[in-house]
Amino acid sequence: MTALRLQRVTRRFGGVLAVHDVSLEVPVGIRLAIIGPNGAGKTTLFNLVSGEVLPTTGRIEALGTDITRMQPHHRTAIGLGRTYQLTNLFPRLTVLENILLAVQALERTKYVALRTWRAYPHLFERARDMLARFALWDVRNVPVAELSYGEQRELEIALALGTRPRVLLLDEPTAGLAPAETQRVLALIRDLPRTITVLLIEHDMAVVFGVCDHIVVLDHGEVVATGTPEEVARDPRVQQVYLGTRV
Amino acid sequence: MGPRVGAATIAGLAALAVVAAPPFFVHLATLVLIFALLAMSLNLLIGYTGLASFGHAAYFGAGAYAAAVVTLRYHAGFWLAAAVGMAASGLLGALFGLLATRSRGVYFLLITMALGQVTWGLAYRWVSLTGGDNGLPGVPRPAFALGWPMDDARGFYLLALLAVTISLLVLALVVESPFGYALRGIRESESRMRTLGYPVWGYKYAAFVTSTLLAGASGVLHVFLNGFVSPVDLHVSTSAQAMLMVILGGSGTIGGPVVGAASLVLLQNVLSTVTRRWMLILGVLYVLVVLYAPGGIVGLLRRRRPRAWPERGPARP
Amino acid sequence: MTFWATLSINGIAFGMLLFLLGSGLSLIFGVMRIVNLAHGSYYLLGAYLGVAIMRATGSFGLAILGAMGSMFVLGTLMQRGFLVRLGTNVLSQVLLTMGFLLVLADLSLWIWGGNPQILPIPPALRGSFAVGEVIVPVYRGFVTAIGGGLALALWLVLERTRLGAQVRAAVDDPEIAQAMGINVPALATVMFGLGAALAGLGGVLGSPFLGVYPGADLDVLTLAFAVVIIGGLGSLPGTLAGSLFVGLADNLGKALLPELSYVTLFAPMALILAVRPRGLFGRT
Repeated sequence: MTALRLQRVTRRFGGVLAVHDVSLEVPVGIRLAIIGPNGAGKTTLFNLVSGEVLPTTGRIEALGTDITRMQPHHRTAIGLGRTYQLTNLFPRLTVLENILLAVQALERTKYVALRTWRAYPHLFERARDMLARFALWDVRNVPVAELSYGEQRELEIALALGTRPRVLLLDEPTAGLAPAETQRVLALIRDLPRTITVLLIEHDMAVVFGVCDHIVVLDHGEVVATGTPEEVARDPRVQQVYLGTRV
Repeated sequence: MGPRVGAATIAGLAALAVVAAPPFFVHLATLVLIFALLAMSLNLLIGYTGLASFGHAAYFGAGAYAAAVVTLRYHAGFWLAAAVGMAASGLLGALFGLLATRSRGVYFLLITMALGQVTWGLAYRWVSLTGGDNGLPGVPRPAFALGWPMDDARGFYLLALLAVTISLLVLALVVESPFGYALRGIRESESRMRTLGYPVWGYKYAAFVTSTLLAGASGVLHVFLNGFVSPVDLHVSTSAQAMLMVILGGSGTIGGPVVGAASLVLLQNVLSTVTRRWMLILGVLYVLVVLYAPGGIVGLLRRRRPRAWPERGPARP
Repeated sequence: MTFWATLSINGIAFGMLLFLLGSGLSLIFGVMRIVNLAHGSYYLLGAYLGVAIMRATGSFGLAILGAMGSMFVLGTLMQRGFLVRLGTNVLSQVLLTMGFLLVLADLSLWIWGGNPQILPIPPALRGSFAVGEVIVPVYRGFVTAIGGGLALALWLVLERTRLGAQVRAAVDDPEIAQAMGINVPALATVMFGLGAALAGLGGVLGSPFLGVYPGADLDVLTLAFAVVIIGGLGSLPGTLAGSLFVGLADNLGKALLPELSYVTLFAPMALILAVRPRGLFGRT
């Protein structure tokens, strides 16, 4: 079964083709890396999948459902989740409150207005497990704005996992992280079950080679190459894209 | 018991003690309560949802006018008038909310202000309904008793105290609920809330309409207190004062709007007897609060410590 | 026919006046993402000062220069001294500028009292002339000419000069403009001052139309807001379009539907915001 299918997806901004005629078939369980120079359209591609941007033309299907025009929160209900390149958390809320918001996001309790959170211990249990998994228990009562960058990036992923996604989009999860933190994130991704499909925008090739089964190379909004990491590493077109060498 | 409960108890006792004070203070205290309710309604939007509404006087005034009209023209009783007043402000909020809640930030500010001005203009021009510039005078006090007869200042004060206390408790519950935290999430990052799976617009709209209902209730109380409503109640300056009360008291807190309303009402009353330049002083106050105390009075008083959840930790491996 | 023509002429003249007020507001937002509630105060103070200077010297020209100059200084002081300290927090901007509005309003009340002031139209600009069957007051023609001339001048500067290119770059993307070597903070201050000066000019020119009285600052502010909402914040052609729209709609509304005149003015604004939140020509 296909986790994600893009059919000739194009997104135009004024005169700029941010994403041009991109087609992808992403099988369930794969770890797919999307690489390319800055401005290649990688984050726009993620925005198209998450629904924050709508395609100019083309079709997007996730887990068997046509999501081309679907609103972001409905896509999450279907099983999509994403992180952001620029950390996108709830700064004045505590770590625990951030995770609770993620954990209740797809439950009916999120509509309850006349009982406090304490009335829902199952949410706290799920949050506790998440905090433990990400080693954030000790900072659970700290406002997110006061966390270190590394801790914030880990919380970024924790939030996305809070909605139990089946297709997870990670936008540069290791950007700006120290080596130890990068290893932790790598381990985290490796530990994810194969029932979850992972798409990864990355610049760190060690991460890509360490975790990904397949790579898609974007340049100027177009797919320039796809293949296994070894194939892509040897592909002269990819070298050209990154190094600008003419063959 | 925590300091919060202590403060609330003291406030509660003080509120009850007012009944023994001279009528002037009782009137003042009633005004404080009424504006505290207006500020609380606005705080739900500003402090918790992050939507700076600059036209809230429209709902305050709509409640007041509707209650006044049914009382004066159709001789409705107090409770019916109050219901009609809140229905009017709520309907107005439901209509305006459809237009406003699609925006955020500056644009939300501008559109709510614009809608506020439409309402003000209507009140000003639709003379046959609203009495135009002269307003609607002669609204009688409610004709029942609540420990005291309503035409006594004390009686009405108790009514206002009851209404505002109930609203305060309900709001306190709402902001600590899953819904309330979702609003805070929206305040912090709408985009993240969306991709987490929340129907953000629905939340904003619900918060908006709830806020306008409460603002209308405040307007109803106000028109029965003063016996009078006029376009001034709908003017943008009223909206601005409500906003100042929220910020001055401390936005995003439960006690803040009450403190802010009390401060501003008392300040205005005291200052206006001492000097004619109280508007100048008020303006300087706005500037000082923004520059030096953006957390408001409550923010200054309590060091901001996030609520600690003393949950059981995870089983150590 | 003459009814419509007269209405249109009055509407356009009013629109030009609004353009003076709206253009400053729009450009300031474009560069600094700041909404200045005290913008109407520049109108008020400019008008009061204009009247005072006119009374003292009898010179309309001096009144204009004095109003513009003093408002330029006031604007730059406000921006440099206070507004730069705020981020993009909307609430802070609203309250800070509201504070200034109150302070300036009360100072005006203190100095000039509560009676509406009337700026006497200089003799050269009194009277009217005929265009076919339509009678056009000279003063309105004058205001239209000034407004139109300024619109043209602003457009020329923006589109044809290096300074204008810098301003446009700063409006498009302040960070990149700064990185390119454009002194964005200095530009911001100058534009703020210019906006204030234009509002002050609007005050002098507009007092025969709109009057000068306590509360005129808020009335004018809400009109200016309507202009930039309809036209779009940050766009000069948008401000012009918005001004003409508001000017005509207001006049038409007052003439045809006096009971609903504010609604005919503000409802279209609200509708535009609902459908096209950025305004006709707006930019984020």
